This record gives sequence, C-alpha cells and structure tokens, in this order.
Amino acid sequence: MVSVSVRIVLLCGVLVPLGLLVAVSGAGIWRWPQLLAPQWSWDAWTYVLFSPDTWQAVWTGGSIALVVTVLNLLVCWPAADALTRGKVGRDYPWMEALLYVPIVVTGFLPLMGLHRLFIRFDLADSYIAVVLVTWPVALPYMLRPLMAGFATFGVAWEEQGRMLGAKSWQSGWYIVLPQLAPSIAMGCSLSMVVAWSQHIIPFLLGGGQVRTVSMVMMPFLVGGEWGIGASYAVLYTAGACVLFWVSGAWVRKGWK
Amino acid sequence: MKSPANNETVRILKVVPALAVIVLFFGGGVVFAVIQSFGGFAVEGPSRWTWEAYEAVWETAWFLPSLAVSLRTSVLATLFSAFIAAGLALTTVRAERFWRGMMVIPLGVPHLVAAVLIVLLWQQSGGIARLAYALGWIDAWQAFPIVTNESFGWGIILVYVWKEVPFLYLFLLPVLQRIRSEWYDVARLCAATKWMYGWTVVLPLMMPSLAVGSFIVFAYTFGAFEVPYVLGVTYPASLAVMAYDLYTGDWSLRPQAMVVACIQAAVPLLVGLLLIRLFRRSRQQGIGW
Repeated sequence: MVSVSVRIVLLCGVLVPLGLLVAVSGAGIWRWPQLLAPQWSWDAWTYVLFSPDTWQAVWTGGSIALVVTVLNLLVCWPAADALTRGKVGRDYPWMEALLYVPIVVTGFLPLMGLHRLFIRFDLADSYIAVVLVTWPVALPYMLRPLMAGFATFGVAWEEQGRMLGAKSWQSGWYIVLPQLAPSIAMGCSLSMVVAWSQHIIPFLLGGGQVRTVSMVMMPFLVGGEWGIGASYAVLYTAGACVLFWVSGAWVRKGWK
Repeated sequence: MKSPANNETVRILKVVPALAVIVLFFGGGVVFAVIQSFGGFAVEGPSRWTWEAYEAVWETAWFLPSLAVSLRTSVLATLFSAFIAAGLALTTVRAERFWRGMMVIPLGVPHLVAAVLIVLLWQQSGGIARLAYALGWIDAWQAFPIVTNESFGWGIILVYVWKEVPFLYLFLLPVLQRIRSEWYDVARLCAATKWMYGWTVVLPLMMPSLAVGSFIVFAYTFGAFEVPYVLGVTYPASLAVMAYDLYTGDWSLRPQAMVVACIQAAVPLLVGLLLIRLFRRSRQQGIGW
C-alpha cells in the first residue's frame, strides 16, 4: 500500500514536469500569467517533424547508440563470463574495478585528452571518434547486468552441452544466450539509453559534423524558442524510452 | 584435458578486450589530458614540463568560487537525493508495481531535458510562479523567488535531485526487499520500538548500498556539464563550465582547461578513497549484510 501523500508527491513530482514540457511544446504563445495555455497549436511539432535535420539527427544518435551497444555486448560477454565464473575475478579484483572507472571519473578529462589524440590521427570531428569515446562510457552499464546474470548461471549446462558434442559457439548460442536473455536485454537497454543521452561527447568530439538530437535542440532553447525546443526535448526523451523498451523487448523475444 | 594454468590464461584473455576499450579509449584520454595539463603536447610552441597551468588556475579569481559552486551543488544534491530516495524506498518497498514504475520514470529522461523541465517549472514566469499567482500568493512575476540561474545553484540541485532520486531508489529497493517483515516482529518481541528497529536493523543494512549509490551520484554531479551550463550563472560558473569555456577559448588556455578537468576528476577519486577507508572500518563493526 502506498499512502495518499506519497502518491501525491510522486504524481506532482514526476508527471507534472513532464506534462508541462508536452504542454509547452504545443502551446504556441503562452503569456504570463495564464495558468493554462490558450490553445493547442501544432506549429512547433510540424516544424520539428518535417525538418530533415530532425530525422538525420535521430538516425545519427540512434545508430551511434546501436553500434556502441553491439560493440559493448561483444566485449562484455566474455569479460562478464570470466570475471564471475572461476578465479580471475577473485585473483585480480582490479580488473573489475578498472572496468567500472567510467562511472566514477566523469566530466571532461578523458574527452579532452582524446580530442587532442584524435586530431593527431585525423579522426577528430568524425562519427568514429564519437562512437569510440561513447563506447567505454556505456560499457559498465552493459557489464553490470551481464555479470549479475553469469553469477547465477553455473557451468553445468555448458559442460552438459560439451559432453553432447556442442562446439563453443553452439553452447554460447543455444545454451548461454537463451538463459541469459533477461540480463542481456537489460544490458542492451541501459547501454542504448546511456549512449543516446550523451550530449557533450558528440558536441565536443563531433565538432558540429556529428549532430544528434540534443545538439539540434540546443540552439532553440538558447534562443528562447521554447515551443520547438520543448518539442525536440519530448522527441529526445521519447527516443530514450523507445530505445530502452525496444532493445530490451527485442532481445528477450529473439531467444524465447 | 586442459591444464588449470592454461584455463586461467584463457579466462584472463576473455577480459582483455573489455579492458582494452577502457584503457585505450578512456584511460588514454585521461593520461593524455594529464600530460597536457603539465605542458606536454602543446598546441603552439615547444612542449616542456611545468606547473605553470596549475599556478595560473590557482591564481585566477574564479577558481575557488567555481570549486565552491561545484562542491556545494553536488554535495547538497547528493544528500537531498539520498534522504528522499531512502524515505521513498522505505515507504514504497511493498507498493504496487505501478507506483514503483512511476518512481523510476525520471531515469529515462536525459539530463539536458531534466534541466529544461526545471527551468519551465521554476523560472520566475514558470509553471509554479503562475500557480502562485493564480492562488494569489504573489501579485507579479517579479515577486517569485529566483530559483534558476542564480549564484547559489538551487536550480542545479533541483535537477540533480529529480534525476538521481530514482537512481538511488533502484539501488536501495533490492536491499530493502530482502528485509523480512518477520524481523520486525522479532524486534517487537524484544521490546524494540519502531524507531529502534529502524536505527539498529534497517539503517545498517541499507547503509552500504546507500553509500555506494550516493558516491556515484556525487562523482557524476561533480563532473557533469550540461546541467550547470543550462541552469548556472556566468560567475561563479561551475568547474565543468569553466573547463569548457577555457577549452573552447584561446588555444593558449588549453593546458588550464586540462588542469580544471584534472581537478574535477581528482576530487571524486579522493572522496572515493576516503569512503573505502571508512567502509572498511564499518565492515569490522558489522554494518552491512
């Protein structure tokens, strides 16, 4: 049971701000001190949805998130396996600690250092640069659920498979994948959202060439065009939710 | 059969790709930035080892005020988030799925959008000001207190609390769900009051998770750029905004930008080491599961 006061706090705290954002995206002119917008207008949304910039940005941001997530799945799967089952995790605790460093060391330090390096290798202001820098930032969010999954999944199933003549890729595909689907789904969802929500990485390392939704949104907010800015903000948030839900559901369904 | 030693090598090799990603595309950046903060890889002129950039940053008028803004907003946001998350987790641990789901919605909202939400809600002509006007509490928008873009950083704190409470909530929920209600009955049998039970049983059990979660929140909020960029003021700006301004400004200021970025990363690291020491001691006193 949830008490009435907690319900009110949750409703006001979570839904009211989001509702206000949606309202602003369709309010048109909304003067002080009107509590409710005089009318709903589709102007801002029409601009946002029919601007080629928007869909270019959705594609750029979404594909970065997808590439980063696939790369993370590839490197985190064997790592989570080795760190949870067997002695490696116990003998070398620094390995796991090192993999979680991007959660603690945030801010500009790695970005600025790499930017200089990328300029030297002619990689700056490129899609590849943005992917490479987003990759480690999202890695811990893939690793954590996978490790939790492997920790509760003994080796007996795979030994059984090997005894029956399964090759290692077969045991991975037919035994581990179906069993760990919930963990993999969670890892993919989190990695997608983290990669999609980055603003400063594409901003700094993309050099204006790699434009994601947040970068298209910013000028409108800074310029005080609240309707269009809010529409982009709704789109940006909805994108995160859709990626979270779709990648999770897709992974789960694929191996059921 | 493979020998055990061989097996261990294979297992270590399995971790190598993930380690390589962190070392190359994260650690490499950190090392390169630190080198640049000491005058290496200069954009113009010859590289030489020097403390100059550190001295220059230390002597500026903005450094200490900026450090204060960053520390104040992230420490207060962490404390408020921890208290609110603990309170909500304790009251909704046995709640229906719907309410727990509602609780975590802000997690999916990007920080930049959360900052926009707080601006729309709290600026002087924002949603809450309009409500206050409609209710007759204020008679003009100028009468509404300035919450966003003021020098204390309340707007920044509000955004972080909105974003990080759900995060800490998710951290605490599994721990609290493992506390069996029978334990309370036992405590009552031993004549413990509700508060004694909470203080001596529940709090020590949730402390480790709360501490780790709070530390992650502190480290994130101390380093993040977007929120103070939207909700801060130009002076004193947060360290992240200063690092950005220096970086995108004149090329000769790049080493100073690296210095500010290094300080931003070093503070959470020091706090983390301190926490680990404290944590070890409390482990010996039997706090935690």
